[in-house]
Amino acid sequence: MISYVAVVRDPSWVKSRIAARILLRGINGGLNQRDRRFARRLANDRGVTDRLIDQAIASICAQKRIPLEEYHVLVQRILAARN
Amino acid sequence: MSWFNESWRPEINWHTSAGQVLDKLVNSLPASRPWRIIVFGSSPLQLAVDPTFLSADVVIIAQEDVESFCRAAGLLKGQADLYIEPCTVVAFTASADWMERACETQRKHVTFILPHPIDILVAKIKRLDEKDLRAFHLVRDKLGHPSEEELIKALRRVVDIYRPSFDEESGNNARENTELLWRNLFGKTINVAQEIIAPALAERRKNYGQQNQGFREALAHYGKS
Repeated sequence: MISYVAVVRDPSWVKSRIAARILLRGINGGLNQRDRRFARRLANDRGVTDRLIDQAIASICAQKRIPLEEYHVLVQRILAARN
Repeated sequence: MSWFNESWRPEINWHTSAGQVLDKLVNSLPASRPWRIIVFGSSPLQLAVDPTFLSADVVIIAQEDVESFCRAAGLLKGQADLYIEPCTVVAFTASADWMERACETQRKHVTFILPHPIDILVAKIKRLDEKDLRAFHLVRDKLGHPSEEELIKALRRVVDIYRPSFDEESGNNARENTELLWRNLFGKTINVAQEIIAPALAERRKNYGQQNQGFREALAHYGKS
């Protein structure tokens, strides 16, 4: 049986979700070497855009039932981590 | 609520010259199938706002080519004093939601779609000749709209008219025309970039999810450390 999710998931979307998970782990200081390697690779992947990562973070937060206010705070913390 | 958030429900005067030409068009089209025809330009204003507002042509967009039917009925340019000008959809520039407020009216087997006056007026900005300016004054005099605020809102919805022209076009005067219109209609100046373009682009960025930029940068930051 073919998984519906596997059929419809676009590679850029899958990679952006991985990027979003890394970013969410990153603000809590929970990154390992593998995460960092992936972060480096995904940051240079043209298919992984700011827009898709933004949507992926929203999607993960919604799945985890994180309240909207908390989601906005997480986004701001992720963006602040650039500096 | 804005004047143009409501559907336009005017009383249509089919005795006007544009109305009579459209009735001839109805009679020229095969009754074996239904037709949907958009009427834009100045003739909707003659049909529904002021019967004395004259136009040399009745500009239409049909779901298929109607030129042969118009020719057979003697309704084309050079065949009739007031003639039918069949166009394609690229000829009418309006915001994506214009159909929501347009007026639909039935004449036998033909449904005519008349854009709301705000969409008719906004579509005139790129050209804005003397007659187009008179159309703005006519609508303001007869309907009391658009106000300055309504027109700004409507122009933000068609912000792409302010982009530079394609190489294949003659110069785009939308910005100068808007400034001229403001002086002429409201006796004021307007800063098009500040009051129309910038707010529309900010709204678009928000809609496209571009307000949060920098995730890739954050990812690269983690990749380095």
